[in-house]
Amino acid sequence: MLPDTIHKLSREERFSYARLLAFMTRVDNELTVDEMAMFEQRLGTALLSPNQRAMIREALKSPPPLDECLAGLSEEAGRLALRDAVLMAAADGEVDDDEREVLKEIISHLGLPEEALSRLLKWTVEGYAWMQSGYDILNDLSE
Amino acid sequence: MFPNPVNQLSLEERKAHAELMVIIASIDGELVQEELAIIESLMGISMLHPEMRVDIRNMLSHPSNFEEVVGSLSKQGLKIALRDGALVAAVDGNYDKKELRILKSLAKLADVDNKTLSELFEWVEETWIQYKNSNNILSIS
Repeated sequence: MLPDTIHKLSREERFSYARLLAFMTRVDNELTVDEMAMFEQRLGTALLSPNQRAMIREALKSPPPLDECLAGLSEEAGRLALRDAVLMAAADGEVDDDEREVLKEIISHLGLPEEALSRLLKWTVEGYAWMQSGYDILNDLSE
Repeated sequence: MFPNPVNQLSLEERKAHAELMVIIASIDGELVQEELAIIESLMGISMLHPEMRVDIRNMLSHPSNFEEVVGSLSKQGLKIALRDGALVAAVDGNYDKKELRILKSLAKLADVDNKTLSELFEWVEETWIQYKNSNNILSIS
């Protein structure tokens, strides 16, 4: 959301982007409410057609292999998918080893430096705190 | 976008929240793709039932009545709607006069004073910057 560019990608790329996120939800073999909410949020931003959404929800049950998910992504779409894969992985409060491995694979596929993961995780933690601060402003100062 | 307490509201409040986002997005008379994306994103994070989302999409051309919708929201729901409404109103690049007016009405109902509302607008601006930082990390122009 916000100054996002997901909706400007081609329809096929947005679909591949969503498939990669569906893959991420299943990496640690559990799907929490927070992960599901984050997944649905990103799906919304991608402005997928109802048919595509149905296919993506199906992919949640049996996600395609990682290689297949990555194959349909351009450089920019892949980077945006990486960013949101980090958000997804962190949605339940921690990024486990399996999730880290997958994120490293994506980073390697995209030809990005390894430090991309730590920088994106730092950005995610700061972002979570920042979003909460928007609500805190309304609570702390007005009650 | 990041986590949002909207999915902790009751189903009725989440629907009202989405209706309010539609009212805010359409109040300046034009709906741009960025506004649609942010509304879909917020409906996603609030985990609205797909059929309810269809109802909300149908309201894009005929938004609900502001007074009726805010009547369904608790004080907490109003505050969350104010914060998200400020994001929705700003997503097309600027705050229109009508958007400001409706946000002020919402703030009044949520017992949020003008000083706090100004801080919220600053927060929106900073949120944009925060979000764009990810593009720098990934070298996306």
